[in-house]
Order: sequence, then C-alpha cells, then structure tokens
Amino acid sequence: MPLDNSSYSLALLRLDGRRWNELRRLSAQISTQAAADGSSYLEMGNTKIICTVDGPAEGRRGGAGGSEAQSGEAQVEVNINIAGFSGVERKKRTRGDKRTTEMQLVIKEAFASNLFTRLYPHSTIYISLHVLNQDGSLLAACLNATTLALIDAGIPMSDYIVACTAGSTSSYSANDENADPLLDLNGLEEQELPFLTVGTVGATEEVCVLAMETRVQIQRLEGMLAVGIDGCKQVKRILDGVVRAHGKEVLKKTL
Amino acid sequence: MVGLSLGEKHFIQGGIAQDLRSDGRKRLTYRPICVETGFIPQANGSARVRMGATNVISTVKAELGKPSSLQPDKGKVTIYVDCSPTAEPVFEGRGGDELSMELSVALQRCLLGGKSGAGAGIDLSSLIVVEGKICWDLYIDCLVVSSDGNLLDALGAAIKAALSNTGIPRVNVAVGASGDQQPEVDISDEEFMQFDTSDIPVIVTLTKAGRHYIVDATSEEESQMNSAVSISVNRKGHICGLTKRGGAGLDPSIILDMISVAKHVSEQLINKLDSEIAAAEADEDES
Repeated sequence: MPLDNSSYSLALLRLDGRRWNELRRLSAQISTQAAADGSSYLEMGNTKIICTVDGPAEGRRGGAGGSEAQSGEAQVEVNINIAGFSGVERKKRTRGDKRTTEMQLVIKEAFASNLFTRLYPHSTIYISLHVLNQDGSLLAACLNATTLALIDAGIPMSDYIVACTAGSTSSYSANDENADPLLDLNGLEEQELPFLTVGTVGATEEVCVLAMETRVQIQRLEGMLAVGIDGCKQVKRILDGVVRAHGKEVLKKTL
Repeated sequence: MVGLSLGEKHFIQGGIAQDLRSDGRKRLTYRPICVETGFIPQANGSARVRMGATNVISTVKAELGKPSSLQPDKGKVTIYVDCSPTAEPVFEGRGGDELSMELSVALQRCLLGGKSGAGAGIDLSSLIVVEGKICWDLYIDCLVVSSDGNLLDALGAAIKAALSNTGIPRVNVAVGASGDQQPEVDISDEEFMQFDTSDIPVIVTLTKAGRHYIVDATSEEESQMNSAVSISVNRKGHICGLTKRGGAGLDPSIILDMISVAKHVSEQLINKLDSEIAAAEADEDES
C-alpha cells in the first residue's frame, strides 16, 4: 500500500495531522514500578514503553564475566522485551531476535559511555525495557525511557541522552529533488519513507546514536540530520520538564 | 522475594486474627480497583487493572483461523500470561516462566470451562464465521507489570475488562464458495461486534493464613499463607472453576465454607468491576 502523500502537498499536513517539524504527543512518568531502583513509563505517540533499572549491583553471573567483572567500571546490561501483542500482528518474539539484540547493543553502548561507570567498579547496571505498543520510533522511545529510568535510579550521567527519528517526505525510488525532511515518524510513515534515528547528548549537538536502515540520496541526509537534532532538543525540553515536575513532587512529599 | 522479620510476621498474623490488616482493611475487603481500557491501540481490546500495587495488563487480539476438526462449530480462545522482568528482577530470562505457566493454566481453567468448551465464560460458538472452515481465534495475552500479591484475581478482572472492550470486525463471506474450497472473506473495518461479557466469571482467591482466610492478599500476606483456594464465580452465583495452591491440607468443611464466602464476596466484586469498566469505557469515549 503506497503512502498517500497527497494531503501533504496540499495542506502541508501529514497523515496524523502534524506539520513536518512537529513531534507526536510525548508524555512520561517516573517511578512507576515499586520493585525496581529506577523506572519510567514513556509514550511517544502510540509507542508505549516501560523501563526499569536495577543496580548498580553485584553481577548476577557469578564470576562468569571474568575480565569484564574485574575492570574498574560498571557494566551496563540491557534487556528488551517486546510484548507479543505490541505489533500489528500478534507474534511471539523469541529471545535473541537479531533486531532486538541490535537495539540492546545500541542502547548499551550509548549509555555505557554517558554514565559515570567508573564510580561503580565491579558492578552491573541492569536496564530492562518492555515494549507495550509499537508505532514507530521504537529505538528512540527506548533511549528516552532509559534516560528517565536511570535518572530515577540516581545513577550519575553527564547529560540526558535524548533521541528521535527524522525522515524524508518521498521514498528513495521517487528521487525527488524537493523532498522535505520530516520529524518523528509514526509506524505507517516508517514503513514507506526513508528515516534515521538520531540520539544526542542533552541539548548539545553531540550525536551519540545514529542508525539508519533505509536507502536515501546523500543530499537529503543533511536536512534529515539537522531536523533530527532539532527534534532531540525538543525532546530534551519535554523530558527535563518531566524530571523537574517529578523532583518537585518528591520534595513536596518529604517536606 | 519477601523478607520479613519475626516481628513483622507476628504483626501480619495478629492483624488477620483481629480482622484489621496492616493496610487497615478487613479480612474480606478488596483493595481499591482501578480499570483503564483501550490503551493498546494495536489490540482488538485491552485493559489495565490496578489493585493496590498490583498492576496487570490484558489484551485481546483476534485472528482468523480454522476451527479444530473435533469442534467445527466453535472458535478458539487461548490465554497466555507473561511475567515481565519489570515487575520483579527475578523474572528475568526464564525466571518468570514457572509462575507464568501456573497463572495461565489457572486462568484457562477458571474462565474457559472444560475441554468441550462447555461452560466457558465466552460463548465460543459466537466466534464461528463459517462452520468447519473459518473461525476467530482469540489470543488473550496478559502481562504482569508489577506484582504485589493476588495476581490471579487481578488477571481475571483484567481479562473481563479487556473482553468488554473488544470489538471483533464483522466478516462478510462471499457467497458461492462451495464444497472443499476455502471461502473468501471480507473483513469490515467499520462494523464491529461486541461480546456479551456478563457471563464471564470473576476469580476470588481466599488465602488461608493461620486460622482465618482473607481476600486480596498482598505479597507480604501471601508469604504467610499455608494454602489458597481460587474460586471463579459468575453473576448467577455458579461456581465455574476451582484451584487450590499451597501445600497445607484443608478440611472439606472449610472448603465449603470458603466457597460460600467467595460467592458472597464475588457479588460485590462483580458489581464493583462492572461499574469500573463502565466508567473506564466512558472515559475512553470522551478522550
């Protein structure tokens, strides 16, 4: 089913009524799970994710880590669980699915370099993500949820890692010179259009995650990247608001 | 999972004996129940139920399938439970599999009736599209998001709420398909049929701690149990299923007593749940 872009060219609106540079509704909560050291619930449009963080704690694999466990910094372990009902079709993803493993690795690497792991030698930080509903920007939503849960767990980091996706209004094969960049693609748009996921450290323009699986002309890339980074700044503002609101709440309770 | 000191154990047991539990409830009082429906757009129906700190999600997904040759006039319903590592770190990897299995079997027993499909809370023959050829397969997936005891009752309530929230697309069968051919179908994306969920039973778990039994035990109270009986009761007051957990034996007269108590408690629970579901549906329509 080719994506109907006609509405775009007429009114410059997308399928869900957004303009090119608008994010979907992004809302989040912190400290949702009692059992974990840090947790968060994040909705990016219809993509819904629960994240919990446990640790830093002694590694669960007793000594199996060998040289890793001996190193002077904490290890980060990420586990993503995609619920069978989260997609359009019901399917049970097996553990060790390649896409899931790749996402785990990306998240792990991004946070391992951003957290101050040197403060916790010989220990492990467990990050567990549960995807309840997927509607595009899955990796970006996972990164944002993880940031919030890590903040809730009180693990020091240099700055927020925030992420969003950016795409282009026409497909690769259309070879359209005038294609505009788009911000924060939903599930339908992701199926049809080229897109990349970009993650930055805080509101700075330092890119720490960049992933793209689709084909796109190189001239368009610069625009997409710029829009993505701009989106990250917006996401940063929203997440910061969530954290501050939560902080005030906690303060009120203790007073 | 729950580490309690001797003093805390005595406190909990003493509270139960005096009909005043540590959170101020009586023995037969439920924690406040909060229902939220339709928040997983990818599913045909979904609900989230909170009972105190216990938080479970239930979703219903419908797919067209083929009825089994033994029961050509009935659709299929399967229940799966998944214990998320976000609820308890021990559920990571295969840690939650045993509990998931136990819960899904208990739920199937309580809600789906016997092997023949008789006595099921959902009318299985309503899932048939073309007899012997096409039926709806309902997959009920439950997720334990956080656990503070009494998972079975919460899951039962969540499934009931999710089924009330479920809309199955109406299917038009092309006429003229004859014989062994698989008929062609056209799934409507505008017309939906709803289930009659009034017959779906609720599950009441009575946990016996010391000489008394309580409903809606928290995980701390569950750690003190010697045995628990889960009874599923429908609106008419009929018993639809019964499971006993825990090693300690029970006197038959106590079991009969428990059943009559469960029947009484279930009336309040069904009414409470129905009003919560109605409120949740109204909320959803508004937003």
